[in-house]
Amino acid sequence: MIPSRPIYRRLRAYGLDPSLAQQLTTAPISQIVLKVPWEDVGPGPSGEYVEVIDYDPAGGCFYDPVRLDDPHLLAQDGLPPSEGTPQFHQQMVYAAAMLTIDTFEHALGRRALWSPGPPPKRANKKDDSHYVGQLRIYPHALREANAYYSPAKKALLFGYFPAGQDDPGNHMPGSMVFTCLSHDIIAHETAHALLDGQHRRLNRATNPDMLAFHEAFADIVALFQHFTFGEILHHQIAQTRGDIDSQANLLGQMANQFGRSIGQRGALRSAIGDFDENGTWVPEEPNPARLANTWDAHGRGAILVAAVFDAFLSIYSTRTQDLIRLYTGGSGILPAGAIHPDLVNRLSDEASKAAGHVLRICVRALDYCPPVDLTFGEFLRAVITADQDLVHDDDLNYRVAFVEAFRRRGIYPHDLRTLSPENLRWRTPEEDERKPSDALGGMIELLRKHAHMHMYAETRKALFDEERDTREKLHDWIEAHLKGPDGVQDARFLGILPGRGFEVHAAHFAARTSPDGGLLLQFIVQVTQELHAERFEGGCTLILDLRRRKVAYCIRKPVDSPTRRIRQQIHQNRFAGTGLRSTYFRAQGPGEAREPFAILHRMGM
Amino acid sequence: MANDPVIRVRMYRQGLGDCLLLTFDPAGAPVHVLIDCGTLGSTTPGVKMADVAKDIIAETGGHVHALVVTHEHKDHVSGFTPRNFDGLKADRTFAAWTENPADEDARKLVKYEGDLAAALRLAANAFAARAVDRDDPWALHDVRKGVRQILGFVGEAGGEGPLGSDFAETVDAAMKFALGRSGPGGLRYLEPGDVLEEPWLPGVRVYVLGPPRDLDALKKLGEHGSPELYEMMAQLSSNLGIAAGFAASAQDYATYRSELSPAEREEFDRKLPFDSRFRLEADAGGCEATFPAYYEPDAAWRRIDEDWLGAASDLALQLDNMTNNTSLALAFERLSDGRVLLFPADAQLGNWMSWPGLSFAVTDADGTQRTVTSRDLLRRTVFYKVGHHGSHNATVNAEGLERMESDELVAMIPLDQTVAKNKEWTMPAPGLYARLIEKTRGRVVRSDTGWPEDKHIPADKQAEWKALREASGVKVEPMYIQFTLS
Repeated sequence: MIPSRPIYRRLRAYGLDPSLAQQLTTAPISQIVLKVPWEDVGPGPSGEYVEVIDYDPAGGCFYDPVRLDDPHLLAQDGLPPSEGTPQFHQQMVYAAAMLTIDTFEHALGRRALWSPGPPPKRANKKDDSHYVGQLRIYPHALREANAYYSPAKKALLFGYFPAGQDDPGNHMPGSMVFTCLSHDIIAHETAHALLDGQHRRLNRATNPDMLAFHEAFADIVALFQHFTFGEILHHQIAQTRGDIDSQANLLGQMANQFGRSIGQRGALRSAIGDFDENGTWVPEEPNPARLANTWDAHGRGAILVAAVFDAFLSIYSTRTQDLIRLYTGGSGILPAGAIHPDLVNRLSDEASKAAGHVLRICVRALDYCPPVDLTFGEFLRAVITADQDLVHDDDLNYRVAFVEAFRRRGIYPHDLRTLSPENLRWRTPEEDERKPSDALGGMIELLRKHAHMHMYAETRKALFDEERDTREKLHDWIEAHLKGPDGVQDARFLGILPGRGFEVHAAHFAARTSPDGGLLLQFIVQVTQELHAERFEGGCTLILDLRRRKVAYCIRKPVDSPTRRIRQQIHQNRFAGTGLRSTYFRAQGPGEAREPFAILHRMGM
Repeated sequence: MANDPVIRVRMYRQGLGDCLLLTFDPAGAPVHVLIDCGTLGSTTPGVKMADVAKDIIAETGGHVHALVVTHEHKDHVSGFTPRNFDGLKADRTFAAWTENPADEDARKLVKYEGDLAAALRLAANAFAARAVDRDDPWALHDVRKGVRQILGFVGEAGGEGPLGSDFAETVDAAMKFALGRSGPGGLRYLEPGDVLEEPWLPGVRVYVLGPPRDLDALKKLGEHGSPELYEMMAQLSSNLGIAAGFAASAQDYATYRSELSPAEREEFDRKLPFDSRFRLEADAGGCEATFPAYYEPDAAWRRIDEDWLGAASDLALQLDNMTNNTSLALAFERLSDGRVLLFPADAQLGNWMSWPGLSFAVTDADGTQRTVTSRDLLRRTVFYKVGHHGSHNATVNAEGLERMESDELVAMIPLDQTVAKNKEWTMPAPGLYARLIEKTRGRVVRSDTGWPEDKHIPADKQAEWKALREASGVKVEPMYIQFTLS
């Protein structure tokens, strides 16, 4: 008898950053077990999605790779947590990264691919045929208080450093701090890589929101993944005394603590709230004017993170209202003393569910974003539209929660008159001012023929190749079509100029099921075009409904938009080439960075 | 000297560096003030430093009433050598409080900058110890170059080599020479908020705007600096420095460690992440077998051999910025009409942003006592010596250029763009240059190429601004560009 493969591999990890000053109250949750989808792994660990290579260049040495299939490790949920054992670091970084990837894939409804590697020798600069199967993870790459995703090397680099005596990061003096032992940081960096795989153009700063979005999105993934850990939630909620408002404070405080980290990173949670001089945690009053006066990536990103967190709190509150009513006989005031364990279970359950939902909504919204030049307001529209497509009956008012939370912080598309979920939804072609010709639907017939190849692709490499093949065929089809009688109208519809080169930047097949049993089969196509002289890009994201054979949405960033071009120029003049860094290290300006995230994460300089 | 003197400013054209001779009442009883003398290279028009020094000595008769040394950067002090200026006497020398060895804060700064420079030197050596090809995709070519250049700015050995015997070998020697020109009694350290009304300079008031006393302001790099920058930088220099020392030695771990002193060894061990029993030496054989993926030639673009040194760019910027921020920033006010000439040296954001917090107590000739603010001075500025060769960060917008409201405004930029380009520096920053042209209505003059080219001036303004230029009091000569405020 051969036992069937397990579904999960259980691996121990630190629940809270071990270098932060330990408190007796958090000791029980400092270690957790992560359930990572089972896969065959080689030493490293090295699997389908990631390979961990433990090279320490500053130290001039390697560390032996861990072998997770060793029977001793399999028998005890992996190595026991240990700061002084490099193999445990490798295990933890693998587990946390894989968990993040798994969550992301579930939300997205398809397998995650990394962005392509550098073009082959002598190929065109835009050649994206280089398949990169594994994200590299270097747990001890840097000797500084930093960690970042390198799009150039398709790698995560984690730093370590000895905490000084006057350490500002609340680390125990004299201790060695490893960023690869913080679940929050690992999830954050992995999320950057995942986002880069979906939206390659997002690390080019054409407006103040873009780098901020990358940071905020990565933080949202890390934050809400943290909230899905039932044991941690359970433990913290059990500590609450008093009325229901303190629940919101508690969750906000936890958000803060999870993110309490080195350098600028902690700033991403700052808009949620902070500790005052007496050590009491105080939530931040949302201020819609703040966004208009904040220009740096971390500042703006923090506002977006706080907005999404706000939405989460509203949703959590809605979900638990009936429980609290039942428990308190309608008064809403929790009696003094410990909360009944059953209620703690239910509350942490609801918080965990709400966190999972919010995360899923944010990840799904990525498909409904334009391919370039994304703004926060557009992300909100994407959130609303994506959710509306999937969940017709929003009886828990998730969408209203998002709209309200964003509006309170001044995030909304400024070209809309009213802010309601119905109005925020992207326009369908019928409602759109630019209309497609009937013949454009021929594209969908082409895609229907290819959909199954995507669906049944055996491996991620096969999926990658299928997507490229589909993109090529689509490109040929569109190119021929634009030369025809409907060419001018449809070029306008797609937001590109006819008679010039364009790219089918992406073509993803997505199959999603909605809570009410409906099946949504879509192709997400990104078309882009660049005006070379000015490095100005435009295009659209097409959401194509394969079953109904129609263009559901065309999310457009027209190339022929002089106002957008001027806005981009103003932004780049204002911020590109500013600062001492770009005077001396020209390759590292915000528009043209060699390592955009290293700079962002370092000191924000 | 007359009581409402004509003021003349000569910007010498010795390349990428500052050298400004102010002369008050040139036609009557001239009073000379020399502000800085240095360069990093001269191609356009290629005037030599030795010739500049000769001209200064000839013009002043070997005597200046005051010598001002604004900060310790090569492009401001490299010209101060015995060969150039033995024939020049100065009645008094002015420097910023940051140069005062008896000042506790100044000492802290010197220590901090010294630590940064030391770490940077080690990083530069670590880079040098490893051979890379121009097209190695994983190498940090720009950081390598940038670090060396900034070390060159501060005159470090290991920085760009000396540019001929005209120049001091190190910035230290130049500073010593310059600060000693007027003897021990003649050296005065200036504080922000100081107001100088000197008998040898009648009709003129000198305001000291910077450098600020606030150490945090000095470290302020840009708008988004973290408040904990100091501690982080200190940690970074220490951690990076020690690792860089090891990397630069090109020795194996055991040998390197054995050659350290016991104290150094303890420090070195403390920075290691793990017990030595876990180490698999990278240079020992066998690693290629255990880690084939890392050594695969096709995957060379994913290697991280140097990425840990990337942080050196932060150290370099911090060092450069701090030194720039210690610039002595002066405003000269002509009392008769309140016109102001602004010389901020290379002050960066932290320095500029400290000015609005200052208030200068002045007493007028008729005895009225009042307070002058920096905003007031900016409003009346008719001459602006552009900071840091027109790089963006050194001309703060909202609190700086945009507060200069005089429609007579003339700006001068000491610059050699060819030299800057060779070093791959963005000087002048295009956006700033354009804004200066706008604000001064075409009256911006660069020491390398003079007036702006026609292409920078809107067609409908060409004639009008040409007239303005001609009436501006600026004369372009081969060795200097001269501005006269009559």
